[in-house]
Amino acid sequence: MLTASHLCHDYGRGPVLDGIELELEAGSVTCLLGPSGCGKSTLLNILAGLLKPTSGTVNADCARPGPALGYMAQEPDLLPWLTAEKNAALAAQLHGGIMAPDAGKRAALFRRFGLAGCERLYPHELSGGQRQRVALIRTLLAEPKLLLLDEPLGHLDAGRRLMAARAIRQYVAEHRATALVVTHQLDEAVHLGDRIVTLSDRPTRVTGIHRLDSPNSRREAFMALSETLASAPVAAEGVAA
Amino acid sequence: MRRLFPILLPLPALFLLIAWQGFVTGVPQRLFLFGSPTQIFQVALQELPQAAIWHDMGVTLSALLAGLALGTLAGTAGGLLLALHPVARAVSRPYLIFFGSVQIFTLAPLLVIWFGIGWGAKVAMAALVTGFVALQQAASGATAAEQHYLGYARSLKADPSRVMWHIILPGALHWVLAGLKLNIGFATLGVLVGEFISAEDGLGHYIFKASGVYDVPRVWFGVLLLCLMALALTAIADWATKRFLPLQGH
Repeated sequence: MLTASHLCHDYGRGPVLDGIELELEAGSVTCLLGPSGCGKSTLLNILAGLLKPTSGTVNADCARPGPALGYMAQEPDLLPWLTAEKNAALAAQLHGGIMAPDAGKRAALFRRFGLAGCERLYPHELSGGQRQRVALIRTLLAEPKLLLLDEPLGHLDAGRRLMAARAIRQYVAEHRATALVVTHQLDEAVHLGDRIVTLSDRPTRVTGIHRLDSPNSRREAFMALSETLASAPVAAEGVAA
Repeated sequence: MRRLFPILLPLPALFLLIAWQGFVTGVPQRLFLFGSPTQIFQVALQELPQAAIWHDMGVTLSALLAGLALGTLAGTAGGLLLALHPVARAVSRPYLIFFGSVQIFTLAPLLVIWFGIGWGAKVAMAALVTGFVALQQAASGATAAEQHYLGYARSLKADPSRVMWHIILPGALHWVLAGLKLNIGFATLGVLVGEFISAEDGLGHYIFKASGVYDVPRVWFGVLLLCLMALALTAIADWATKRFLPLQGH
């Protein structure tokens, strides 16, 4: 679905990404887990085609700007002069005839994310977590095939985080979509992902890949990752697949 | 507190008026220098039924509104053009800083030479000052919209004309509208400076003429009318800002 090979990036002050290899499978959620500031957002921007890597390639039909790409930036960037529902429908506005705005689908998503009743509120009237969920609805409403989400649940409380994680998984399953979710929360990664890819500190490398295809493997991955994260913040060579 | 508010609210004004009246009563020099509330009231009774004062108010108000509209429109258009082109934006920045440091009111005598002492010079003065503020607001707004909200549009590969219509333009208008209240003050000042320097009618001219013959109550009356006019305009701007600009916390 999406293959990134040997991605390197450098903003001019030393390498940020150092030979990232990544393969995303259709119908699955991959979580990128790494320390804060390790270059996860840089990697996501490169995969979204918003940033050109210093070297390396990204191969995938939908991994370039367009309606098939669902990109969500780390900070909710809702337009302050539009209500929540109009913000959610922005993709349709920006694309005109290509995507018809579907009010029923939008209302369903607002309900699923626990935002029923907030449709007519402006971003400044919403909490940080609510804004983030509106941005998530905006991304899903465009029905992209590839989701690139940069800490989409960072402002949510524990309960809503689980609920939203479930909604993302459901979307991916229903649409046979591919999702890459950046996070620095282990529990979030374990709940959300079919796979967890761990990253090192800068310059960022892939340090391990955990498959989570059964409840047991989730538990084991959680335990193993807690152990490695707690003991060595830099590398976890032993778990590399 | 809330129950007492309607009683407390007029107290300072009442106190001021009574103190003023008491201060000048029986002392002719003071009365000559400062006027008195009762004299101002008499001037009002005398002037308001006559057409002349309404004409002056109309001239000032119309020049103010025309200048504000002209300046805001031209400034917004200019600001958008500058902001949209990266080269234009970079080249124009030092010029904007240079012209921003020119006190535009010092150009008033030139404007009177160019546009004459009629309505035109006042409009030009108001338009020049407000245009500059609108230009900077529009440019900043468009740039800010580009920086904060364009990532998503770029990831969607949205049509540039739609990005312009749905993101850049509202972003710029937003800032222009936020500067509207400031600009009403500037436009008023612009018109007044024009009228002070040289004019044949308008409230500024009325005040200037009255002060020339030491008619202090008439000066106060003119100032009062200007205050009321500015209050009304600010109220309208307040309403417009609330109606079209739903962001308190921004």
